[in-house]
Amino acid sequence: MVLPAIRWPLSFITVYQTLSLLVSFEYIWLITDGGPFYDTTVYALYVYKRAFESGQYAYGAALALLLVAIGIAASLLMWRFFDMKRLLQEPRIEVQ
Amino acid sequence: MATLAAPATERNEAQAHWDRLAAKSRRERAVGQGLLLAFLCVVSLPILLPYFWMFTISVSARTGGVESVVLWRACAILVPAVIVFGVLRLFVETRRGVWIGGLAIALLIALSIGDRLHLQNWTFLSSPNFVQELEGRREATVASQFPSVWTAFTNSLALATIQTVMVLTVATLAGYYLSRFKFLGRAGFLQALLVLHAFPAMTLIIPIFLLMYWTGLLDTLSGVILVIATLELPFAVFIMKGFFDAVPWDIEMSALVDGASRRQAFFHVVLPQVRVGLLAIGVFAFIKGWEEYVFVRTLLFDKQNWVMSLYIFWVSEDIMGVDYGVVAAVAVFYVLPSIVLYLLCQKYLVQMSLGGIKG
Repeated sequence: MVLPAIRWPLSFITVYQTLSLLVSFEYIWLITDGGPFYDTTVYALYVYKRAFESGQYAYGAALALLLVAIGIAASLLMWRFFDMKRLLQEPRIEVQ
Repeated sequence: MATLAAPATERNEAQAHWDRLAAKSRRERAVGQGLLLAFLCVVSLPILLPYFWMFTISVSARTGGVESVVLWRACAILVPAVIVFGVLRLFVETRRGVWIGGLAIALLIALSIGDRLHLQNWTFLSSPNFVQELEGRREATVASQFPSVWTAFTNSLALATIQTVMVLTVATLAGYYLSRFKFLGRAGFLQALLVLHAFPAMTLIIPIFLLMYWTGLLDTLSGVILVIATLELPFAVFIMKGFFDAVPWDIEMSALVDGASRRQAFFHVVLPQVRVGLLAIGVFAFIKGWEEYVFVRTLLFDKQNWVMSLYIFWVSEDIMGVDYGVVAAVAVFYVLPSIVLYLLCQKYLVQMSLGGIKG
């Protein structure tokens, strides 16, 4: 009874946090710096190391583009799945 | 007599039965609450311990020496004290009892570690050459070229407040329009707002740097304000749209029927209804501007343009090793406005219900 009532904030938070966490690397970098030989390296951390520490900006940009494409695809899927189009109801006041 | 005596004993038995039930439920409630409190204490420990370390070290650590006596003693007193406090709260109902318990704990702490506390680490507030004074070094250090901490503080404050005002204005108007008007591309716009968050701020640093360079806004606070406000907007617009959706149509309709123009209806009728939303995104935007580090590090160079996050970074980047006492003191100074803001807005933030929509 409670969960359907908070449907819309829940779906928004899911999509938003999925995208945020997909590209987060700050804390992983601070705590393990990629882990013992790449064990805890995430995608975004790998992009950062390639682009800023090895100086391969173009390669890093290409990797980041792929990550962004995955993120966009995931968020579009979730938009469909949560039916978030219902967030836009028809306006009822026509007076300008 | 027998008929009079029988109901009395029955009543007594019934009363005794109810009393036993009441006592049992009180016991169960006390145990349940105690367990819940214990669980919450254990779970919040990883969050509270760093802050505790920060506050304690900032008033007790000395340059050049590593000692943790103050920390251990304070821990040894505080941890049992909190447990005892939690247990006592179930039995002591009066506020006076709670106050006496708090005072007893404070007295214990003062007696055991009071003589080791000092305020040497806080001299950065008054003198720019604090590193030299603390360590007694004759040669110039990195820190002798720092600006005053108050410069960084005012820069940080200006950054956060101007960015908050910008985000509030734009997000409120955008949320109102998205919620109430039908324009071409409305669905696509909302979807794009959500999907745009897939672009991490990290990957946009290089293009933003180039943009700032070409527009001449590099190394200025206005450039950083524009960038941070832009990146905060999608979230803020979504939140405000949710709050505007929760305001019923009838209120606005009746205001329009009563002869208000659309703008008057917005300012006088609808906006007070979403006050909580305004406060929520105001606090979020302020905190984000206050803690911003990535973009200020990339886009600001001049010493007079420093922000508090840069200041604390450079304080901890000393050549001769990190002076944790000073870093902790600067960190406490840095985190204080955020805590004050939260304490002031706590009451309103708890009432917030992220604004659902009404079908």
